[in-house]
Amino acid sequence: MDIIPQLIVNSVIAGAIYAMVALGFNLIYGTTKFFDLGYGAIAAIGGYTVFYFYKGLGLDLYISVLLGILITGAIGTIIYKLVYAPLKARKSSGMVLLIAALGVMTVLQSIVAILFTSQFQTLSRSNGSEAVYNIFGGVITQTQLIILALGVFLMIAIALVFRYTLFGKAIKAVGDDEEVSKIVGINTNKIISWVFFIGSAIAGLAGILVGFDTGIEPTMGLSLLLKGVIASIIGGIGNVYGGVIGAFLLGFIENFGIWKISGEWKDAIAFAVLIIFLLFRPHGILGKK
Amino acid sequence: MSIKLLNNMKSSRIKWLVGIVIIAIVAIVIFGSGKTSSGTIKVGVIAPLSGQYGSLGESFKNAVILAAGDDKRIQVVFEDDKFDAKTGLSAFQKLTNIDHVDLVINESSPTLGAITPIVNESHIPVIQIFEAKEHNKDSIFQMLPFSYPLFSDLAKLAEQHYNRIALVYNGDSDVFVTDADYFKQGVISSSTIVNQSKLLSSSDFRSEVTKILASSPDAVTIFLPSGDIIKFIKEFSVQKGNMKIDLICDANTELSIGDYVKALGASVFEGCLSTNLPSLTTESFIQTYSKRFNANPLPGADWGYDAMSVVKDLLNTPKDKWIKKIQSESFDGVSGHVSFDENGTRNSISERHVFRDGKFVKI
Repeated sequence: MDIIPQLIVNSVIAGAIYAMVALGFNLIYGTTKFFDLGYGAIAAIGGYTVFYFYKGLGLDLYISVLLGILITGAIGTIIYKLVYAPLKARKSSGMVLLIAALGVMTVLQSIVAILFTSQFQTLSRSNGSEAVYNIFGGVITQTQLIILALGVFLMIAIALVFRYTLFGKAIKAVGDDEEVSKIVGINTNKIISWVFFIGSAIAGLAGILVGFDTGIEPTMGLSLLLKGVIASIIGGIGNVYGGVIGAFLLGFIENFGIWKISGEWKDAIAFAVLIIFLLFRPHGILGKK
Repeated sequence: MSIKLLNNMKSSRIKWLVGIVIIAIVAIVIFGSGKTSSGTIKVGVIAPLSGQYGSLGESFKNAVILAAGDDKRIQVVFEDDKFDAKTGLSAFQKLTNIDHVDLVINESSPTLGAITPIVNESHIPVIQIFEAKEHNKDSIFQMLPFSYPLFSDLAKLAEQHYNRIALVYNGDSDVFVTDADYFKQGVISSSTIVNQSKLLSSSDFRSEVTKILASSPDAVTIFLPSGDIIKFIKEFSVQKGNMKIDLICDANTELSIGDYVKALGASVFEGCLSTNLPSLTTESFIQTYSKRFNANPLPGADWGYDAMSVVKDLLNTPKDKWIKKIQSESFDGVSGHVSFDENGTRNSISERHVFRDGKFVKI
């Protein structure tokens, strides 16, 4: 059995998941210059929201997914308004914001565990009936194809919004200099609120898709976040396109890295790559020096 | 007889009496220092009352309550360890240092691993339910028999049916590493195990499954936590396609088979070989439990009941004789005959099973 086609497919799937996480994370970080740890827990909330509506209440799949995306977007915005915005208004340091974000992540994770228990859950209603496709000798499921397609779609959509809309240009302006943006008349609070909504909604979508692909558990967000952050740093933190490139690169390095060694080294390989980039190219592949 | 002589005799009697009283007091101090249980025993019970094994923990708790009954001489304090070693260690420290319990009943294996050094120092008797690593003669008594015969017999059973076996196990927990070691020790031919994958829960298993399939096994045996088993088998089924590769189950799989069937379907496990302890749970226990709690007891509940029965047997025994008393226990409990070997592990045998038509049946 030739292992390489499947390893390539595995790398692409992992890259697509990391890319989606990195997209939302970079959008928030690029605009606010704030390391939002709560982002990981939001991804888990996305998965559990669909679990509640789709498997618990028996609602339609698409309605449940839509509700999941909207609710996670709303939660992200509410957290920004209630926690991060007041701290920013008080000119709190980055460390204070980081600790607040850590608190948000812990609280959200605990609430999910209390409401749904820590037991691993699957999102799909049917067992083992998912369509599987063979691409050049590597197999990929329908969910994994959707993850890939949505990752590419979101990247293109964000790129178009940045390039052709006033809203996108306002986001870039706030990311470049918030104070100057205020002076030129941009409602920075409103823009940042929207950025939190969109970024959190993307996190929620990532959590939902991972939930359909493998399953959900309250702590799932942390490992997703870490991989998204590594991808962002490799690609250039705050750079939306860099995050996507970093995500696929990380996916390939991880999956080919364990080709000849035990799978338990996967995370160690990912973090070793992170350290190498921090030491030798801290601004990442596409980041500004 | 003169008055002086009478007085001397009285004084000599008094001296004798005082002497006898002193000797009696010394004898009590020397030979009776082991406090009697003063009629009450405070028992600390640690179980996973929440988390992925929460349902098992709740069922276990119910069985302990059922066994304790209305006996006012037994006071039970429950603590939740979430099947996590650190939480279990904190629970044990709270029970021994704050609640000052006389004895602990602990269900989870990870917690036992964390508390063993303290138990060995404090000599507080612990009745353990599920197994951790092999332990030597100490104050820990294990209700679940030693799992070496179980997993080495599973290897022998697997080797009778398959020539090429892939072994997958979790590297985060001693329990799964130990089970995998016992399995490896049970395999006779060195060429039988064609692939060994040690995995961590945090990662996805796609490329590991790819590597396993590339080694062309006839069967795969999986020692993973319940969530990882679902993740692994899901990915394994996708990549395997129509390849004829069977799964090999084990006692842990049997424990949570209901959850797995719910998530993955029963057909995935059809023909899955396994070894487990013989099911000796008495019908009367199942009925009493069901009547009281409106649910059937889950695996491990019968061991919890018997653990509390061992405790009740200690009520009239001096505390310093408890270890010896437990060592000599021999009674027919609701989970079969209860007696311990020289290391404090319950004696039992392994039984071979296969998954057919939605349930495990004896081969």
